[in-house]
Amino acid sequence: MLGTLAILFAGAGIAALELPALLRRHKFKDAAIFLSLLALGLILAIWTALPQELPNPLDWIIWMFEPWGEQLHRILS
Amino acid sequence: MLDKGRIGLHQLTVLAILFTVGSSVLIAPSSLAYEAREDAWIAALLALVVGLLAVGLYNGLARLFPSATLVGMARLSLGRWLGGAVSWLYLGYFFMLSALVLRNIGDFMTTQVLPKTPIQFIHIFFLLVVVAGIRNGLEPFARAAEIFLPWVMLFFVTMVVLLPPEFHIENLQPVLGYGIKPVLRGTISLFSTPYTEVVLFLMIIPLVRKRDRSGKALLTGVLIGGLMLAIIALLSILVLGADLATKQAFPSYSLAKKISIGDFLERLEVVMAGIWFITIYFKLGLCFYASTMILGELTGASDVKPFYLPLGLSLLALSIVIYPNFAYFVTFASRVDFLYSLPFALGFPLLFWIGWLIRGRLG
Repeated sequence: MLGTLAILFAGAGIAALELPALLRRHKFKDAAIFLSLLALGLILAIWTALPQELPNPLDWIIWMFEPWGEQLHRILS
Repeated sequence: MLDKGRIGLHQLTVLAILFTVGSSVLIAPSSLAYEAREDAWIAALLALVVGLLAVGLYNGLARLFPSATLVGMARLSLGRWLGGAVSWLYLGYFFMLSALVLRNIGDFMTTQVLPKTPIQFIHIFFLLVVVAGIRNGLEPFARAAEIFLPWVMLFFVTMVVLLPPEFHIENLQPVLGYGIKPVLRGTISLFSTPYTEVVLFLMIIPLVRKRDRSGKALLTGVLIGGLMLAIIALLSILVLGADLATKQAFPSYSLAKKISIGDFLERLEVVMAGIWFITIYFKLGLCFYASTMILGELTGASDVKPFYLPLGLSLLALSIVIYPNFAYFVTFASRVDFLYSLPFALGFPLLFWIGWLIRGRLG
């Protein structure tokens, strides 16, 4: 709970730091990208504080390449 | 161009040295000694040679596509959609690499230096400093690299000069005692980190002044960095022996612990850890910079500066989950990393080359 609050607080701080300048200069496209990145970052960061584990992209990469890696290792041993 | 900064040839070399030494100086000696045993240093030199060949490929590409970054190259040679898809893959590759490098420093700190500090806090503070450094673009970052490189060299030379009393020449024998296959395994493990990652410099070369001579500057940087890695591998074997070097997660740190001159110069290891903070700082900065620049170019943003902090949040989350334990990382590094990096290091660049040839043929 405390972790989630701290992350949300950090997110608000980041928005307060970057957003006003973007809006003042009418860079609405940049602001939209910024907000989507911020939303993604907040979701992922809060997820790590939850008991439910965040899916690890490295798992998929290992699943894809490990059989071939084993094969290569066998050839070289 | 998204980044208005320009860097000089000398700065390119400096960045290449720091990038090559990067996190590998901490983790590479262990896997090298694990695979190639006493011949770790031969494997390191062999990997350097292969790495330099790859740099030659990138230099050729940079000449074919003047002033284009990776995204531009992909789009020019493969078309807007396919090129865009390949660029998104590169974004993923560099972002994962950033998370892995951040995790390397976190693991090192929590196992060796600050065992009771939660790893999240080490990541947060390290990443904040990286963001502060890279936020204003590559030019100030490269200037900082120039200031820090002499310190890295000073510490490195100190280590090399102070260690000879601990050398055991017999640790090197037998040379090639198990044939060439273990050496090749070691070569593969070092080639996949850091040499395949040098493809990142395709994002940097367009910013170099006097681009016609950038090839030699990059080659020099990777060569110097690679020689430093080979020397560290050699020292680990000479001082610790293949067995001990294999069993340590961070042999170069144990190496620094061995420095002992007349009961006076002792416990230099944290000073030596300074080298790794600096090299990992610059490697992480470059990886994060490349990811953010690719994202900016793909989304057509006018400035990437505001994106570093929110992307940093995702990077923090990813660096925490990216491997549950050190054994998982060892599996990844020894069995998966090479094949996973190969398309990015050689596959796509060759594809760009072929695409350029076909486009030229068609007019």
